Amino acid sequence: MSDNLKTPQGQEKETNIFVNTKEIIWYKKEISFEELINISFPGSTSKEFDVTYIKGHSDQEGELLNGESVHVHPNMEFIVTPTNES
Amino acid sequence: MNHSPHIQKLADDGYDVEIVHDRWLLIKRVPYLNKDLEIKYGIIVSDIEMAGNDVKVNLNNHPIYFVGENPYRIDGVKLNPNNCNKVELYPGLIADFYFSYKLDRPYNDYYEKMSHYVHLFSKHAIRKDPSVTFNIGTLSMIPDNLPFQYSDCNSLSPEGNILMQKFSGMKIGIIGMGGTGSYILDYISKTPVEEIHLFDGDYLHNKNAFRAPGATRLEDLKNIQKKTDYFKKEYSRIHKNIISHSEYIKSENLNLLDQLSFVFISIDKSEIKKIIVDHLESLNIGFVDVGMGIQITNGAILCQIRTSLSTAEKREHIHEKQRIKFAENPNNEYSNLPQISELNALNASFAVIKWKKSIGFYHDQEKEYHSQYLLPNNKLLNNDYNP
Repeated sequence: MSDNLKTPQGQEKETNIFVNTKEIIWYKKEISFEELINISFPGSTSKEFDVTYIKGHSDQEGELLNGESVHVHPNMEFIVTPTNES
Repeated sequence: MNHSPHIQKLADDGYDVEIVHDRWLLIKRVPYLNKDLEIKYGIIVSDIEMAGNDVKVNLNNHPIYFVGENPYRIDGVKLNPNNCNKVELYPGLIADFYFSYKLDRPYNDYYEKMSHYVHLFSKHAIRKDPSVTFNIGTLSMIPDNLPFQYSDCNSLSPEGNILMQKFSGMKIGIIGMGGTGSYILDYISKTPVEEIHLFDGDYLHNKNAFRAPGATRLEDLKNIQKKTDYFKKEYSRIHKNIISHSEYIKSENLNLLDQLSFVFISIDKSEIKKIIVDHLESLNIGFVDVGMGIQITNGAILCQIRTSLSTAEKREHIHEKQRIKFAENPNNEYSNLPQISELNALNASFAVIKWKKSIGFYHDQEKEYHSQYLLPNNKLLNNDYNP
């Protein structure tokens, strides 16, 4: 698990979010593509994932690309899956 | 269409009979009286109901179309049509009237139906001039030129006919005959595209039977065969021009794609996608790439279903936003998962719908070139708009 999950950092507020249907507490304002992959596929070196989110701030929704981050929002949902099954 | 003794009997009786596109039955040169009680010649047209390749008996439809002026009786009374709107039945034939004369039971066959209507219109002309003739009895056929083994018997509106013409002459490629590719074939085989080319080097295995449409015969699994040969055989029962290429696409045989109008990419090997995409782009060929991301978490399956379009009008999103992944992901789990054929079918549906939108068959107000269906949330996310 990433350090962000374990160590609250001072005044940072806690936000409950869902990653691949599992509820977690996030302590930062933003979450990145890489952090979401670390949470759902610990130890993976591949970047070949599709990352989507819904129920963000003002019902924001969309896709996160490698290198991008998004503001977290209570009850926001993320889905992280490897791609390309046919 | 198989020979129909009932339709033949119409010709034997001396009528000028024509079958057009396996869909319309015409009695030409039918004498009738117009408003001024002059003798004129018109055409009676019925749709043709079929059971497979046989013309039906015990007909469901009793009405007919009439090409000509409104027919009158010898006593000057108008024969009332149910509808006077002009309708283009197919390019080159516009019907003027629609008549609906029922018996107290369905018509037995086309001999009874057409004879009945001919008699209704012609008896008044014959009363006026017993020497009128119907012409020499002939039966001619104008084939439909459609790539199907039998007619769909779907009588289309003029707008419907124009829409169906969007498929004519198209040559479609399906690269990868796995679960999603086989459902794509299922849908495409029911459109009148000119040719359907299947590409896959793999053999048909038991697991494929649980991902494909229909129910595979045990014998087809015992007789080891290439997937493309199997699917060509199965779907040639409805579409005449399915071509099996039982090999994987690689740099050496990319030219097999050169003559295609549109390509569906449904393969799980990412690295080969790069050369396929580059090649299609260089030839200005449109394509849809599909892919599913599947995970088991918390004791159940979650899935994202991706559909990415690329056409001459818009291609950059595929590369700049990495909508198609060109590197393998070792975390793929599909081979260890339960079968999920309805998700394959859903991905195939998204892909075929997007293609039909791109050729103007369906309306497309959103013009998204990339979408993800989030299975756990029942949510469709659109992206990469073509302004």
